[in-house]
Amino acid sequence: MVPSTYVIELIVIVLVIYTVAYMFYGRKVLQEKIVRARTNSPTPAIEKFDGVDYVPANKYVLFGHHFASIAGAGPIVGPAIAMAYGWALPLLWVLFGNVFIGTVHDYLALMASVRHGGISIMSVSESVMGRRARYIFLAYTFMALLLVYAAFASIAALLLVSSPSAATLSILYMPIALFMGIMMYRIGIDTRIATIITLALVAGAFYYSYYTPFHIGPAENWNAYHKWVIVLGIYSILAASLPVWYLLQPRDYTNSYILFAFVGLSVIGGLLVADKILVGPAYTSFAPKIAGFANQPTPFWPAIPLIIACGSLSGFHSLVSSGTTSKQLANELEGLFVGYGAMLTEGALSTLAVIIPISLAWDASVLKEANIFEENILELSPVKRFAVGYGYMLGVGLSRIGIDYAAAFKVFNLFAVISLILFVMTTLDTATRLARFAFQEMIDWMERVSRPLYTVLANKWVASLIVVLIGSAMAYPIVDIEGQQVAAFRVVWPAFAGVNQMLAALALLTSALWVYAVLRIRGTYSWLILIPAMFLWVTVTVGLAWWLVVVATKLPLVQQVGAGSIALISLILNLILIVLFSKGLSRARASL
Amino acid sequence: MIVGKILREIAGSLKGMARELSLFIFGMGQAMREHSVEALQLQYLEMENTFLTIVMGGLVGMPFAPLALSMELAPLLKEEIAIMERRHALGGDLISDYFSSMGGDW
Repeated sequence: MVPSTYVIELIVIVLVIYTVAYMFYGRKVLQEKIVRARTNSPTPAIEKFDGVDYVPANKYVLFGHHFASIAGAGPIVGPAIAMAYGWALPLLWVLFGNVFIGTVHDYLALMASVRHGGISIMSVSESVMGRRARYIFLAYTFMALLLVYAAFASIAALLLVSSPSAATLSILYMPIALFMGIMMYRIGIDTRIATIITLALVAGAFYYSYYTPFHIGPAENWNAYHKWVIVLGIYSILAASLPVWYLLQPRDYTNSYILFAFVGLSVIGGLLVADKILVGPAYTSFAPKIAGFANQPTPFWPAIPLIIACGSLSGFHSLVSSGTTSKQLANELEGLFVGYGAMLTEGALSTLAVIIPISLAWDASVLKEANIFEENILELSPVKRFAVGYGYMLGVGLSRIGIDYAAAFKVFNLFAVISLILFVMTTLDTATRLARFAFQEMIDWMERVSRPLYTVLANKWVASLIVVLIGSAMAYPIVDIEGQQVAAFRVVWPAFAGVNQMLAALALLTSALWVYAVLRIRGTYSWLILIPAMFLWVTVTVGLAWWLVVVATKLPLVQQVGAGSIALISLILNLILIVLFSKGLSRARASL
Repeated sequence: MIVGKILREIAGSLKGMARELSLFIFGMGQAMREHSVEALQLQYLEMENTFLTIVMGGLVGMPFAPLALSMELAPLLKEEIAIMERRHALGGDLISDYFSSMGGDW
């Protein structure tokens, strides 16, 4: 018989592993033996200081910037899907992926950029693997962003249908954000006063939404879902094309309070229920049938990176690390805290806000209290699993300090849904904007071939429309899996996670080559980077190939053409990439 | 004596931890405020680029701004010219900055 596991045991295990990893693997190995970070080595922020692009920042402030840029909906959805394996295997992948791959990937991307004067990891890849690697990087980024759009539009539409109160708040939230922008930038009201007014309005809107659900249309035949996908498409085009001060900036500002409240409440909730036993099974099966994988037996290896992306490792982080973060690092020794520490925090968020709460609320008795009559939590959609689990953890936790359980459960269930929707909507318009930039950069060669065509395609409205149309085409159809109808994100998610992880493999291979060729690290320490990089490359390549053969062939045509062809192109590029990597390695050896 | 020394050491390390924690919390608060205007700053930089293109566009074949205006503004542009030169070198390398400034949240 498997012994019971208490929440506190899990928290302690995670804390001990992360502390040991940070102190020994991070500091002693990566920082001291591989990167050989030095306190007196000037960073680009010092060397190129201009008060504009290159400015040294306090390490805590930089950590906050970096964390706010990488944390959001990603680390929530993946682990919620992976709970089909029970809680032990997802936790294992979050811990293993975090400590040996994700943190290494983020930290090395940051430090490689710092040592190259603050250029992006894309340019570092060009310098160690040639110009083609740069275009592969750009192509991965664009394709992953298209899949991000498709998956997140579908998630948002599903949440807005299943939680009409959250729909009300999402609608009210946008004019509040616009109003805040006008208060600060048109009327000139002090930021603190504008913040207080905005937060009061958000709290009022939350209260109003709780009692006033909004239905966009009848839920039958997925009518409401389809309407939301269209509305979100229009919203994304508008939000991605408006000047940032209108909506993006004030919305992000208000969202950052919600993100930190979300993280803080996860920690408080976890501590308040520390003595509870996890009722969910530690292990269900090595290859459970998962709806998003067309109900095929989905083996933990190699499929896990197609499920858990951001909570464990994410290729997009290499771009964030080598963007403004590397231009603001004041001291090389602070890179570990920022690059390595922020990724560990994201992994901890996955554990505290998703894995533990879902394991606590697994039982039918818990679900019944929430008026849900399924046998266990796995019968709910992944996003609903997360919301129920989060609400339950805080409901139970707060009931111990005298707050009514039922009320706390309802409020925090709604808070979880609203937080997720707001993170997802932020991601939607940011992904549209970034995909537009990547698209414009990808077609720059066209300017020489046909200037009129380039002018039309590079137009911001046209470029946004292209991104939204491709993404919405994948998000709109309902997928029939053995008679069960599910929202499109469940089948698009593996393709998104796979392409994202391929981007991570590319960044990590770049870093491995940088360590070998530029830092000239040999022996055991170089293997410590090369082995995780190759492991990730092999796992993701096999995983995506398996997904294409076993899963994609059973999906509707639109998904096969959309997500399937993107995954196929990624696989082909992946093979080119490994050839470029081998050549780079040979060149590095020959130059010795 | 020994107990007192140990207690002092414990108090010292607790004080150090409390200081680090308060710095962390204040740092996060400042990051939230700064992060919220980062995207705005990016757009400001784009406007600055447009401005520079207007006054120095002649260097890249654009029609000149009125000579009197250019002459009047030129001494004020020393810093900007240095920044623009650096940005020119990083011109094809902005996508990471966009990711950092706008946040990916994934």
